[in-house]
Amino acid sequence: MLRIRDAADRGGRLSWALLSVLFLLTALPAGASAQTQGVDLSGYLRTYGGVLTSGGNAGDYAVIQNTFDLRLERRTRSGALYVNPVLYHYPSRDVEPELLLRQAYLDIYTDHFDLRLGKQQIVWGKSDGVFITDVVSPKDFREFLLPDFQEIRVGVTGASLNYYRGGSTFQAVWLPLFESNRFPGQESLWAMPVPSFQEGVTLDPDRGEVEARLENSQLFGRWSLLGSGVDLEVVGAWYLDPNPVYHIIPADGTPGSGGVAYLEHHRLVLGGGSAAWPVGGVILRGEVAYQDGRRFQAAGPSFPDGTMESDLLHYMVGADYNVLGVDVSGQFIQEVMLDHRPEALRRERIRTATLLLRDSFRRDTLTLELFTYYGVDDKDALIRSRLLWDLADGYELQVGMNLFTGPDSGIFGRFDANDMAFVKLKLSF
Amino acid sequence: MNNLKTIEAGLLALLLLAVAVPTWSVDAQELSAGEIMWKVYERPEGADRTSTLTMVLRNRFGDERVRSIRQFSIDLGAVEKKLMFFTAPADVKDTSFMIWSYDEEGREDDQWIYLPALRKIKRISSESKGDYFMGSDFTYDDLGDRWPDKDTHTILRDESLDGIPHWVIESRPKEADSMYSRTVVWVRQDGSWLGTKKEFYDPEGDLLKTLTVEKIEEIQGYWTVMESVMHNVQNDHRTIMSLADVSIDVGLDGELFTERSMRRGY
Repeated sequence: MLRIRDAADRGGRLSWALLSVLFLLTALPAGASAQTQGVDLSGYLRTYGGVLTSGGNAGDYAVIQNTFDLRLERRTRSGALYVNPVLYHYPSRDVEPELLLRQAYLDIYTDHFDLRLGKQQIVWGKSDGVFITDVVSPKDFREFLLPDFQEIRVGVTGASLNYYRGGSTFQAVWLPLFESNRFPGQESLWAMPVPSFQEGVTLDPDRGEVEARLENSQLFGRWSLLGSGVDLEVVGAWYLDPNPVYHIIPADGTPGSGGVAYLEHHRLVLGGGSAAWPVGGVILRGEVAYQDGRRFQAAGPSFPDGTMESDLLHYMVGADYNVLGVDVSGQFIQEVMLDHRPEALRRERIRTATLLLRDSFRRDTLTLELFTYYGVDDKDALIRSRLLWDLADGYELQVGMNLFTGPDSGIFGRFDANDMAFVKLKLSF
Repeated sequence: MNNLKTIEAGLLALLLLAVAVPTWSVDAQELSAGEIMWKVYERPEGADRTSTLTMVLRNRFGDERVRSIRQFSIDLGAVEKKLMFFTAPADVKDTSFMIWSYDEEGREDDQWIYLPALRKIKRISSESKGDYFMGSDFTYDDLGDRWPDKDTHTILRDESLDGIPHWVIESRPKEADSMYSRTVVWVRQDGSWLGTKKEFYDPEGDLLKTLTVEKIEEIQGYWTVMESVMHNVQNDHRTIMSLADVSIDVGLDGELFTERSMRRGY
């Protein structure tokens, strides 16, 4: 049985990681530049504040966060060592600072192969802001889609082997340990509504954990080409769905009679690919994934455990171009449940569009950006606007607004009360 | 960051690299303005190159920003490939940029950018040649090799610069939507086919920018411009562009110019 692994307590491993980093830092002679010791030291310090501007909680702080992101890298001709611990501090919340080891890996280089061992972020696909074939690294949705995507993607522990031939790259990934997507708790601003089918049902948190066993490992493969006139990717995956589904054991054997529920991550097979190619001054992009045997929530006598199985087709078509100096990028994304039944607790088709507008001024030191998700079916949207100002080399100030609009039924509209103004100050080193 | 064309041939053409050839005097009466510009365009530059490029952007108040790039290029005949790794400022460090430029007339460049924060390589459009490169005073088009037949050339006069005789040649674009109404370049008459100064005029005909070569060195038999300054006279902004660690004909492998290098670095 596949079960959710309780990922809550990583304290021991993180403390070990922090100690390792401190050891590396203290190993450098005082006053010596990191580069002279062969260790490249970089990262950033960021302070980020956001205040709600709508709903009954207008004026409340949505977030106050300090972040220290440190990257240590030592490279030689035959390999590299990379460690990236990140510390999040929330001064307005009664929580301990959160220490993450975003990545920590060892590279081994040969003429035609690279082998990467350890915790790493792996990114696939050609979509912006959506995840179609990008299934290797799980996602952290605790702050919805608002963090930088570097922070949304969770590092995974495993081995990645790349083989290079001409312009082609063949990649094989083995992940011995499973990590789920991360979701907000019910106390969060970004909590998802509790499905109605769970009423009267008790969640068994101990059941459903994915045990750390070989049989629960995951395999991924990818071929990619950067070619003259076209870029291609073909991917395949044998993996565990990072989005768990609720299984219900009815109290008296009939649905709706209460009982016990548990979360389960199901094994999936995925095939797909992506492409990008220029046509005149436009870059066209496409990405598609076919998921075989995915589980979805369902309600009805035919589905006593609250789930049904259906293949899923997920695709994106998009284009990037420049109009009067403004970068414009549009995407249309659709998910289609190929074996949809009326009892399914989601639509047969979910359609989303995105639009990015970006322009730079004052010698690229001032950038104005607008990125919008639009839910075609619910007519809801998330409109993200921000102004980025490079105050000096390495210093960046961001101010912006996140606006949610639309009905509660939409994934964006349900956060209509979470409109937020924010400011970020970042020092990169 | 669109539209870098032929960076090694580009930067170097714009930086006015020259080949070391025996110095001899060329009779101006023997060559037309167009023939001279073809000589400048076809100047040999080596099969491959590596260098470190530093740009200091200085505004009218003396405030400076620094951009550093480690760059590699190779000429494979029908295609020229260029790979750049941004090393400063810190917030763009490890970003890489690759361009494949084709000899075939009318064929657009292939261009990609690797964004380390996203861990993703994106293909980008080769349009917008008029955009400024990294906030400097150089447009992407300035950095590329401009096909001589795109302009109509006229010898304005002979002039001595630093005691060296030069042709002063005016080039007017044949296309209607060019960002410059004309350019004027000073080309040495010593057979090096090296330009040492260039003026750029805006669509209204007013002087917009002046490029001057400050330092030239002979490296592995090639005269190489090590430092030049582009001065935008309309807003009094300067870009000081300097090269270091230049190596030419080092035998770079064509497989350097792939996804692997973009992600891994140099």
